[in-house]
Amino acid sequence: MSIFGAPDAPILRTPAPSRAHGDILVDEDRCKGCGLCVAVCPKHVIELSGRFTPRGYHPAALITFSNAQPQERCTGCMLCSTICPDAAITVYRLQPARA
Amino acid sequence: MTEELKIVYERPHALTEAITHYCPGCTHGIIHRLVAEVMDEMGITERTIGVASVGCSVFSYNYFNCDFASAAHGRAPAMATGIKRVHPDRMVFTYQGDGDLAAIGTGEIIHAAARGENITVIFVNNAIYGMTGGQMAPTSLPGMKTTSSIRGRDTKTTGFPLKMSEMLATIEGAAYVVRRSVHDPGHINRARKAIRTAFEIQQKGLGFSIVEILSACPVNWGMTPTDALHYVEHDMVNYFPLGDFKVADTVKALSRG
Amino acid sequence: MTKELWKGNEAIAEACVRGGLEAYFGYPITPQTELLEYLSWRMPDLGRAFLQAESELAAINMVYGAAAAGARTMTSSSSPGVSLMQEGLSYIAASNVPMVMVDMMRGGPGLGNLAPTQADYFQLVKGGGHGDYHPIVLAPSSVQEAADMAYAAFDLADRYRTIVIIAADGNIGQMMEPVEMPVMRELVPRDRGWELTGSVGRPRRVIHSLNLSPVEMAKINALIQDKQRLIGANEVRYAERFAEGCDLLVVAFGSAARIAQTAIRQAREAGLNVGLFRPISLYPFPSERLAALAARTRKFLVFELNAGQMFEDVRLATGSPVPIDFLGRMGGVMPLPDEVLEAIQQAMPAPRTNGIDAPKRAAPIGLN
Repeated sequence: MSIFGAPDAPILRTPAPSRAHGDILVDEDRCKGCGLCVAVCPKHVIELSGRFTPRGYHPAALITFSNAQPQERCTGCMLCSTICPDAAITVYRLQPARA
Repeated sequence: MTEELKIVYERPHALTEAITHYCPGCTHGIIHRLVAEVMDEMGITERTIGVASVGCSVFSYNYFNCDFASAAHGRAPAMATGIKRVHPDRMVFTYQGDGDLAAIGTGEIIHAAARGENITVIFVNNAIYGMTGGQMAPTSLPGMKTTSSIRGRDTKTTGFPLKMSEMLATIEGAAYVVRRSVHDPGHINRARKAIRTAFEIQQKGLGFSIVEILSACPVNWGMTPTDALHYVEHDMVNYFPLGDFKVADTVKALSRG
Repeated sequence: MTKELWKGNEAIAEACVRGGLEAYFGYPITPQTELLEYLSWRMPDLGRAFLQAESELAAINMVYGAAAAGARTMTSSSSPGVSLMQEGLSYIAASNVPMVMVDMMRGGPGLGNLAPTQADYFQLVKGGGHGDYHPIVLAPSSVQEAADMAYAAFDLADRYRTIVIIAADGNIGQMMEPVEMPVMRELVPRDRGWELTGSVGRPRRVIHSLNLSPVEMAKINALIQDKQRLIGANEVRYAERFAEGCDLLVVAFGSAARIAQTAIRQAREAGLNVGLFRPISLYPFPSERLAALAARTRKFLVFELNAGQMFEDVRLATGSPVPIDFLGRMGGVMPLPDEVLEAIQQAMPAPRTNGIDAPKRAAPIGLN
């Protein structure tokens, strides 16, 4: 199975906020398409997009599933940001809003 | 209950905005990030002076947000000594590869450790000379094919890989000599912890600290980034065991206290 | 101030301390080891940094670090050790950080011997390490002069952010002579805008010497060349005796000049019109003055303790029409004044015979 998604697939944020746990933002100026985050994501929700960054790499991106089950979504576990050699990933987690 | 997406991880401030020249999947990037995360955590960036070496990481002075010097090949521990002796209250660290530290710089690293020089050395061991195009290194594994050992490293004529951590651990002046790896997130987190300990040792004036980190070189090994990490996990760790080779009593007291 | 008897190496060391030395890194090598030994207790007594490094390679790189960190720093060595330091000197020159080095020159090439020579002239004056640069090189001919140079060296290095080398013949380190020691300077903290001190409250700084872009590298080199020109305009030093309008001008530096001085005095007493030109700055070389003197001198005699190194700079400065003889001693042999006198007598140009009275000449003394 290729780690590349469909060409020209747009980046969409992970599922509707009410069911999501986490989200990532990949800085495409920095991402070199090394694929380490793809390999390390326990939910297998990262892929290398078919698009090109300005530097000519295929950037990492969160996969979107139209009918995503909770276990197929980003949990904000930070394994991707831990392994990213370019510190290109910002990780978000859904947390109760403080008053 | 309202929820909102909060940032749980973002790029460390101790890294500059520069995009690194490192190859995709090069673990220099991970290790730079770890050092920067520790600098952020400890709030020491502005009091830190780094010493870059010669190798792929020669431009490390472009990537860390602190004062930086650039040393000649192998000489970083000597340069760091000069800086630390005149600025003992600053954090001084070197960032060196295996050619820099284990080939041309063996004299300087041994004597910095022997003096118990209060500096921290980040030793990135990827068993090859990356910057110059993939030649054999003192830490290249037996049989490893490189551009200067195209039939594989022949131990009969070129000897065996140097185990720097084991050697440096025998030196009394060395307070903390450990080997870690960055081949998966668990080991990356442990490597960060070791770097943090090493900097704390310097902060408390407990002596010489070095963290050897097994690293990948996908391009010169001729592997994908993920395969390269597998090579680190299985082949490199096999030859260079991970662990703590020297932890001075004063350092042990740190974690207790 | 009273004069005290000081050994050269120790006088230089003490003068450096009084001139504001903050960090010394060195390695033992004859004939300068006493300098290191003296500082090994003097510096810690004053709470300043001292370290005997594991090699000259390590020492010069420690100096590089301390210099980049803004300290007044120096090393000392002798010819083979200086060869080892050339890489470091090139890096330091490229980084424009100031430092001082003392070279007690000994016999070479190779391991050589422990006797005094002047055979490091090329490696010190012509740059030495790779690339286009020249340290300031000063050649003392007495212990007092060496101490005075050492005292002023740190200011001089700071002024241009350059390397200052005191090139002393090995005997100067070993001789004991009366010295009036200068006054101890206060150490004053400075921030000249480039030191690596930790980026508290300011943007971070980098000291490096790599410039992959040829255009950028050319600019860096142009700045270094501008600095050299400024140094050339301001820091030429020399001494001369009876140099104007003499028949034979002896050009010598360091101890060779002292030996020549005695020989010249004897020659003049015998009626020979011979003078002495002593370059004190070997870089910048006093080419302009020598060129001016060449117009009024009939012949030069270059006398050095080597096979002919400064000789080339004298030739360059004076141009080809003026004949230049050479007297050299290699391997650490130090000639006595009468050997130099003999050379002077042999080198003297023939008296003029164009109607103008030739200067009176006594019969040559002790030629055979």
